[in-house]
Amino acid sequence: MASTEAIGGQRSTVHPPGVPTQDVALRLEHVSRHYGSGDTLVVALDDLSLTLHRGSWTAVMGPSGSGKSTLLHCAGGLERPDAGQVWLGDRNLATATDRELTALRRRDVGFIFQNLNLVASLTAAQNVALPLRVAGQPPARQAVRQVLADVGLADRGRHRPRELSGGQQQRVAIARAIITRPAVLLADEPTGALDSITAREVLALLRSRVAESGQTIVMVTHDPVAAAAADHVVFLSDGRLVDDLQRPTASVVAARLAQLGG
Amino acid sequence: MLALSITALRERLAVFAGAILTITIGVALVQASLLALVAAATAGPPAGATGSERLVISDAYVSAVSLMGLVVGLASFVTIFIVGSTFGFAVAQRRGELALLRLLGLSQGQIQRLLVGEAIALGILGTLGGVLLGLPVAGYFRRTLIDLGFAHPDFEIAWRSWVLAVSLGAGIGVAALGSLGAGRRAGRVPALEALRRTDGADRVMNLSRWVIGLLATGGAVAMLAVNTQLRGESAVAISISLCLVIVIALTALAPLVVPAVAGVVGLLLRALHPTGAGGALVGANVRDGVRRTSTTAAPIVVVVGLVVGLIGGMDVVSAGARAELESSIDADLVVESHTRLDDLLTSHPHVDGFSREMTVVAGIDDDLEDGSGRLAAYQAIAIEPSTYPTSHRVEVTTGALDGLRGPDTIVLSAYLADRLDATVGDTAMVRLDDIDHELTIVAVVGSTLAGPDILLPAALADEPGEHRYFLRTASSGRSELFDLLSSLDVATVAAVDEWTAAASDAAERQNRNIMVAIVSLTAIYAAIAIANAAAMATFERRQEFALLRLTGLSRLQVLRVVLNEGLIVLVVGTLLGGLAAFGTIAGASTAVSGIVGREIMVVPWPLAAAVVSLCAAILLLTTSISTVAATRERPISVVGARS
Repeated sequence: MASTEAIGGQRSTVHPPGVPTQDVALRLEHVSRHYGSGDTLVVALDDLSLTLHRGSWTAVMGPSGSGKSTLLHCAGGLERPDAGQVWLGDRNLATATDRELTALRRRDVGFIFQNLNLVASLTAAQNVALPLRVAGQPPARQAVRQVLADVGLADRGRHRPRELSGGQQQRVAIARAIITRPAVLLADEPTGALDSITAREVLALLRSRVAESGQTIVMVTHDPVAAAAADHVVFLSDGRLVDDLQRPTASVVAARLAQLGG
Repeated sequence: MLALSITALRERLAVFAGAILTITIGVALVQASLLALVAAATAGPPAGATGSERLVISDAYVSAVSLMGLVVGLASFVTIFIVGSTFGFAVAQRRGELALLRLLGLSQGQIQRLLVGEAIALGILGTLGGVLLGLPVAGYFRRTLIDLGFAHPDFEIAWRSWVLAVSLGAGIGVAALGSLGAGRRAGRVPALEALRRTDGADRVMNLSRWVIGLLATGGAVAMLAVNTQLRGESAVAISISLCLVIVIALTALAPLVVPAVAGVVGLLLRALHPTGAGGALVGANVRDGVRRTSTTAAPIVVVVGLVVGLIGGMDVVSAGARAELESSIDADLVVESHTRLDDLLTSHPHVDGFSREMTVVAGIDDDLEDGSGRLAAYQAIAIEPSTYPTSHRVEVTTGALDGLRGPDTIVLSAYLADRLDATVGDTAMVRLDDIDHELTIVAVVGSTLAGPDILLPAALADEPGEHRYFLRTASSGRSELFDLLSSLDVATVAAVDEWTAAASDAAERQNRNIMVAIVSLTAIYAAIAIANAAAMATFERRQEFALLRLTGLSRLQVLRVVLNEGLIVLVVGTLLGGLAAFGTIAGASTAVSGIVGREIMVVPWPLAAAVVSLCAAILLLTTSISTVAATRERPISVVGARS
């Protein structure tokens, strides 16, 4: 039983079958976001609405400048929309205070980004434990070891980022994002800097989070292969949702993307 | 969070070493000058000194206290300025890391506490070093005070245990204070910035810069407008405050000047090398790194402004005193003798006229409000009122010099009369050689820069001492007279212009020495801060250098680009520091010209050239060394590692 948002002429079916409609992880309602003004006005999101269910994995695709990253930033409370609402569970991020957004980042949202963003001076284990420390919890050795083992880096805990390969660094970043078991994982090109074998490992890791922990993943990507690993794909163009695809395959995704000129 | 602070500290010790150093030197300076001040305040004349000696030595210690007070104030200000600037810079460099912590859920308050916690840890480390470094610095102040004649050779600076608490409080307090503003700004770093490869530096010209810059500019203009009283120690204090206020204003507003200077220098480089990309790159880099350029230029502004401004301002005072002395004496020869020569001079055919005078020390309680009854030592000149005006131009404001014919009379300068709140007809209590005299004020004369502030009847200075004769002679017999007087082994003889030149030179030397004593260590501190800021600014750019090298630039070409940018920093620092110096000198000039009655203005160009060259050497050398160090690694490994 598919739920369909039909707002502003944009239609999107964005959840796997069999999930109850009230079990919504993330909902964007009429979200608009623009930068600059006058001649330099850039509309990044244009009255966009989107509903994502718990335990779903959504890939967001589109040409450069179509608003993919802005969508991700608004979904994580990193950017405030100029208009519209962003619901994460039952909280409206559009009106949340900085304090509330800080608490949210600590508990409910994990970020995985292309830039890796590890603290160079800390070991892999210390990087992974950082969110726990930030939350004021004692850095549980066992939990850190377990998460590192989950991402296949059981023996790399004492290494610093510069001693790790790109794929290993990205997996440390994923371990850091999942150690607090956030309801929603936001990923921006998580495989962008990786070779195809490492990229496959990272995608498999993300799949296991959805299947085993029921976490919700939103992933921005340019790569049709990566997008094909998700449950479904939404396509953006000029800040609007223009298409979506259930159970994607790489070749279909690539064809749709080509139509959009991305 | 403490664990995080300590980890960050251990890992970034190299970066923080500069911040620790700034605190160490600042604490050492403040502690040593404070100990010297307290030592001078509690010191007294040695046993067995005569009345006049006691008065002079006590008065010297009072001057020493004022002097060290100025050093304490200046050192404190520069410490706060440099530590604040260094910490602000260190925090600005870590925006990416702090944004990441925000992304991971650190609150604004936690970021701020993290930074203040780090600053306190650095403050403790720096203070410990400063307490030790303060000991030899105190030794320097002791020697300086003795050399300047502000302290008896027996003078000692004792260690006082309470100063440890002051040093700790100052070191930690300054560090915490310096990180507070930067921490608040850093707390507002949007977490989103962690996701962007390029650091979105915050607006450099922020509100606090505008407020501080405009307030300080207003203060400087006001001080220049009312700055007409320029006497003795207060002159130096006023000069220092004026200079500091201008330095604050200009460093706060520096980001406004940077792009313009960068544009001009960029144009110049393009004109010199039309084919090279260097000019465009240098200009763009500097415009892009306005904070970096402003921060690196700030200690140059301090060094150039303080050293050139304060010593130059003092030079104006010296030049004013010299002009005053030259124009106030109307004689041909000056003779100094321990025996009276009146009979010889009266009878000598070539002497057209002469006046005799003697300098004595007069003790007067010139600060009635403090109620201490403490006497200040003034130079008084004992004169014959009938002949004195023949060789000295004196501007009598009220009363008449002739009144000095009577016993127990005195003439005061307008300055001293004002301090005593006395006028013609009143009496003044004056101590001469341990004897108190109640003297009637018979005239008030115009104030001069170098004094004298007191004229006495010759009868009051009967003690044996050096008599000074000012002679007027016809030019025909002058050399004959000169030879005759020179042959007397009791007398030294000089042509009047040589005598005034020698006296003025001596006064100028002493003035300069005093200013150097006040400024030197603080200037050295700021000069070290130049090296510190340059090194910090260079290391920040490892990634950028690596990218340039991947684009095809050699290490030498990178160095050339960085040195050209250093040149812009130097121009900005020299320009603003020069402006601060000029403002200070102009302030001194206004006041001195008002007292002397004609335009007095000197600019110490050789000193300015030397100071700027020194700043240039420190800046360019440090920049070169740190650029070489920062480009040592293979570029690809630097670009690959995200730090």
